[in-house]
Amino acid sequence: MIKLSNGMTDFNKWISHWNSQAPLIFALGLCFLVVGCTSDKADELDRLTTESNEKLIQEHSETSLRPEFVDVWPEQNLNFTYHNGQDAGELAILETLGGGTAVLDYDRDGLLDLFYTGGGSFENKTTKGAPSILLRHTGDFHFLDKTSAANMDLADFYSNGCSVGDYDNDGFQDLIVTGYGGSILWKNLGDGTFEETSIAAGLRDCYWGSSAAWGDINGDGLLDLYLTQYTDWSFQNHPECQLTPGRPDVCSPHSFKGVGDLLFFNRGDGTFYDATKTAGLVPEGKGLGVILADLDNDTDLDAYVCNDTVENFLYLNDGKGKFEEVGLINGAAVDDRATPNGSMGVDIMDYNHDGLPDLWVANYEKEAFALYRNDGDAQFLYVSNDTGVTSIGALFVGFGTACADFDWDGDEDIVVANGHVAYFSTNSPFRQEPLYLENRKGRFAQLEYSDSSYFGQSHTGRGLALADFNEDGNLDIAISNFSDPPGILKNTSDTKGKWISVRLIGTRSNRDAIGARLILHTSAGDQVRQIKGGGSYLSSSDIRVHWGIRADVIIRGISIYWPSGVQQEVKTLQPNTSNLILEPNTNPES
Amino acid sequence: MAFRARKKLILSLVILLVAILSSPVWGRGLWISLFQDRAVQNLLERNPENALEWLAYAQALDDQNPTTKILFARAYRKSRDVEQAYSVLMKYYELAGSTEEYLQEQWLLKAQIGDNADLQKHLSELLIKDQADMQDICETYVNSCILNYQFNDALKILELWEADFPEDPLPNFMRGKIYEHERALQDAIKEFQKTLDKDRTYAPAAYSLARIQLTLKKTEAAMKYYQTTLANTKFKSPAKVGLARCYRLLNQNQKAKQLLLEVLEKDVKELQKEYQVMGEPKFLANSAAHLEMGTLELTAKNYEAALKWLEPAAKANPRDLGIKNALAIVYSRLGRKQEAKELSQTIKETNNALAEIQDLLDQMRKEPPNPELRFQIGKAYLKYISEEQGIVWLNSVLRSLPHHRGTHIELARYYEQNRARGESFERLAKIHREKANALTKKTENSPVKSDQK
Repeated sequence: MIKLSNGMTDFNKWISHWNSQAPLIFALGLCFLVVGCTSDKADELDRLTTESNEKLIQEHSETSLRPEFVDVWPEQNLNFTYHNGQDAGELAILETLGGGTAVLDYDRDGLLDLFYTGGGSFENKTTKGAPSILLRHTGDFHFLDKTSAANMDLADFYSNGCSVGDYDNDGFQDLIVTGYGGSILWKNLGDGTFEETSIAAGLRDCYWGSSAAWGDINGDGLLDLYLTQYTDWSFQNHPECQLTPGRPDVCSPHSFKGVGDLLFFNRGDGTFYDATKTAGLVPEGKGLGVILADLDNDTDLDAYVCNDTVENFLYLNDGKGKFEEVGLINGAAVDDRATPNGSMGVDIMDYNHDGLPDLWVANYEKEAFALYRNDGDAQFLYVSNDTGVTSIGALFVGFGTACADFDWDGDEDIVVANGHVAYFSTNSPFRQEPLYLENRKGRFAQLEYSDSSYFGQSHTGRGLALADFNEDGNLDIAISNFSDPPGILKNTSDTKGKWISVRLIGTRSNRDAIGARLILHTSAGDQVRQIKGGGSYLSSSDIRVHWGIRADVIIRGISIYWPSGVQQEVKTLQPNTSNLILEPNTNPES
Repeated sequence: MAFRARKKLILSLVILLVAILSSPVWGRGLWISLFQDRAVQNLLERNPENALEWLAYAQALDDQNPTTKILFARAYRKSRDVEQAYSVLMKYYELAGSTEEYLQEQWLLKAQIGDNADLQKHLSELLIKDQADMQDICETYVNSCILNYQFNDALKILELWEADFPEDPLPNFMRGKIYEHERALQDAIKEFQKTLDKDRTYAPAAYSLARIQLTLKKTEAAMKYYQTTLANTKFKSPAKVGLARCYRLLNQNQKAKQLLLEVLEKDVKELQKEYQVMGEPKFLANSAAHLEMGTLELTAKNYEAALKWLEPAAKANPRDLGIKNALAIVYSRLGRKQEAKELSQTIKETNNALAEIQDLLDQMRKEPPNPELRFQIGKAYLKYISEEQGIVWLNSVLRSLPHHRGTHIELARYYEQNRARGESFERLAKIHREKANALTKKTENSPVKSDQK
């Protein structure tokens, strides 16, 4: 019987020596083949790696503008912070969503104003709303609290999101505020005040509304409303959870069932009807973000919905308001491992200049943020790995986000507001720095900021909206923080070149022209943008369309594809200012 | 005189040559013993492939030698070829009967595929009695614990193992595997790094570090570890596929293709062995490089070409959702919408199952002996995630409830569907079907229905 043994006889030692030497001797004749060949391969691999690393370093060291932002919120002397009710110690998942922000010119004085949702609190196992805030811009980044003056000091529900849309086409932008237990519809009366009309309009009832998006989904020239809903949490469904062992914390969304999204069609008389079923919305989902845009270039509005931990939805519109959900087969529902991500914020851009809108999604930690390349017909491919997006690591929990040309170099860059949801996370901190990703010929690089910059400091970011408050062509950012005061980030970049801004006014189409596709023709090629419904997270950006243009590039006009089907060519555009373009009253068939 | 001396020398040389050439006849036992000793030494050095070569020489001299057979069984087990190990062990049993060595090898083989009840029962006596085999026993036991989600038991044994053999890199490597499995990636990195500190040429540790860096989306770091792997192993293909992935992520597609083509030229059996050496499942041999090639083609919008790679990959690795997802996208773009929808449905179902499994695993941490939970987990694993782990979970149900009808039904169904894979599948299909039928009959005849599914 042989036992495996560590003790060896002299004979065994001799054999062992022979055993170790013999292959060496026999291998001498082969060494040029085997070892030499292997070394060649290894050298080749080394060379390839070095080359690739050098190329990367070279790419990263390209000189480019780093946009600078200054937070002017402290100068406003406003006492406002989003409340999530954390003090009650309930550790409810409702606390995690945070609030949103909306950009609108509610008084039509030509200056963009701001709205921030207020959140809420918990009392005796019930939820209570906290007041939101309406800020009137008086110029030069001075904002005044006009909440009471505008009759908006109502806090019926624990609020989360907000979205701007002129649903009655009267030229005054209205506002929906979403939240737990109901929605508030603020109809703009045109005299600097608002009226709460959600019950009369038929938009009050919901379980837990998160993001909302306005857009003409059924092509009747009126803005409809897509409302994402999150989970079935309630105080009757309120388990105790630990995200880190031994530390009670808010529960993850896995602990709850999703609540189906809602779609409301506009009757045109100030009221809406529930079209959720007739439009074909699928019942599952834990919706947090939504964007309405024409993703397959067929002049109707499609919808993309960010769900938390379950597959994202891609709804393609048949042009009459009937949706088909094709997220998985069209490659936009999951990541490249077919794993559903915790998706929150969303935007579109044409990152590779192929004229097609690509999808950008801000996700949870340990997942990459998702960039889905549109290969035509709304067929998407997850390209985060291939475009440098994943190089930012897996620490960020991303929420509000926007794609725009901040540095005027002719392509769209990305900003993301980050912050954790768990109070005790071991993977990444509760407070996180916002992200700026610069588009470098279709690959993205994270720009580093100093500690003195807002982008170099940690925050509890949630909602994010874009606006050019001072009309200098540098896009500013409004941010809603989770448990800190908001941020109003003035873009102070020393940008070179020129910019174009366009505000469309629909006549046959909805007045906000949501769904319009605009192609700016320049000597450096075309740049495509859309007027989108929703986007970001719980927030609403200015609906003006912005392009940055390098100094040496000549502007050759713009083609506009209105949602009504009207196509318009505008040959002359004023650079460095906002261009107002009215939809021509021509028959789209002619 | 000189002629006579030369003649004497030549005669001596002839006699020596005849003696050497005839030594397999007169000194057969010595040679066999020599080859077996070499095999044993190679097994101790964790080189089962070389051990198998030495044993082949021993077998050529005597194919009925029980010692050669038991060593073969051990070498096959250590090279993760369970079916061969089982077959050779049966031959040993026919030759030598139920010896102590046979029983020990049987326990270890069962543990290798996840059934560690016998090994667990005899673990302490084996470790005390058989210091020489301690590393092998520990390694096998830890592997079986990992398969059974008995991570704490595994970690305890690793601690003992490391205390007795502080220079052995394997306890750190295995601890790294456990942490990686539990998604504690930073802890896993530390353990794999410690492995390399103890033995910088331990290629599977460098390979694992590369894989984790890729999971963490750190492509350049992953490339570095793949290079280290390549420099320290002759089993280069898994690292080449990993490196090709890195190149693809850096948009260096031609370089990626070049590496993948080198891998795809290799024999599948050889590739399977290479993946197993790196601690990966052998089905990756038929799917990993294919998936990378498919993804390259899909990214380049060459859908027909992508299909050529992805369809075989999906067949070879039917539970990989990434492959399914890529294939669904390709079908969709080729206008084969129905096939795309069917695959998407499977992806959705699997993702739902994964979420349910997570819930079940969380529950099981609170109530570990619950066989009904193990049954649900086993069923879901078997259907959606891993055959190997599914079988382990289901067998663990039978250890506490040998008459669990649902488990016998699931196992019977699985082995019946895979009959073509070998005799053992046929045999197990029959055993479980008979038990399932008997239990069904008993339940039907019972006045009070059993609550066992």
